[in-house]
Amino acid sequence: MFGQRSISEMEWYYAKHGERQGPVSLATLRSMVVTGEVAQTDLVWRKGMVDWIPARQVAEISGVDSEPSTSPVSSPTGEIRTPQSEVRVAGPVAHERIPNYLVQSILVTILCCWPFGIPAIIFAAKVDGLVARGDIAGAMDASKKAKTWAWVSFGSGMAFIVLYVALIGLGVISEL
Amino acid sequence: MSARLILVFGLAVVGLLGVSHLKENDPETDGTFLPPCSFHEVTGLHCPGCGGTRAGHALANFRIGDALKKNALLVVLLPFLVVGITLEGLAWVKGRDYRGPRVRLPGGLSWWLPGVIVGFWILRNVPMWPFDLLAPR
Repeated sequence: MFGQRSISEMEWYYAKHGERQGPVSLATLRSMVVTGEVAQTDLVWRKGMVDWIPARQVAEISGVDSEPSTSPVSSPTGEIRTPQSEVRVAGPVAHERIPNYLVQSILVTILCCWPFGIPAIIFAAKVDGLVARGDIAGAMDASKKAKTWAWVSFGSGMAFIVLYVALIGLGVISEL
Repeated sequence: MSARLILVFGLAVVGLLGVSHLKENDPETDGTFLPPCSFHEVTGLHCPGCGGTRAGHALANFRIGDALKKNALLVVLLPFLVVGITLEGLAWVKGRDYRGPRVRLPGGLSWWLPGVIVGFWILRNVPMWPFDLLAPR
């Protein structure tokens, strides 16, 4: 009976550093929220839920004494922690760790001037919308693709400049 | 000091030197270290960044009107890019400990930004008024 119950409780997942963690039992997750290992703002999910939602919005999880661990959030000096309280400052929501590479994508498009920057911008622009919809996996995928295309664009731009300078050096396109 | 901090600091110094070089040298008369756009050299078409160096020269000398004529999109995006580069640089230096803001694009605008850039790219190559106003001039 007990064993059966604990297996069925191993159903919670949480997002940390933009990655899915778990499964853990409800009891474990609750204690992780209490110790601050999982922040109130970190996204959690279990089978049957439509979307990932912040831990504080799940009554079963945040019902346990959530006030003390949320108070340091607003404190700008939250970085300074007292040794006895290992409570990590409930930092930004885990998904804020997912970089969107938007700035980099625009930069390589404008500076390298080749069409490879466009897919980078398209993927980069999708990241935050996917996160807002709770599609963490999709957001991480878009983030990765934006990064890849940004590097492709940067690499091809650099390759072209090197080639161009070399050709000028050889006098091949001295007319330009 | 971490290697990342040194690298970002070095890039910032190079960037500031670049801006001061750009301020002193007009790309239209003296292109030393101010390369033309490779896409334009090959295709003859204007890319979304074409005119950017000249716009930067105009901006560095506080001539916003001239800058808008060279590359309006870049002038509009520049404040966001400057903030974005600063925040991304900070985030990269601090790694996982970074808890500051980052440039975010609301989901509703997902197609808006790529659309504007691609649209700008196409329209500024249409050789008739009013689209030619978007080409560097």
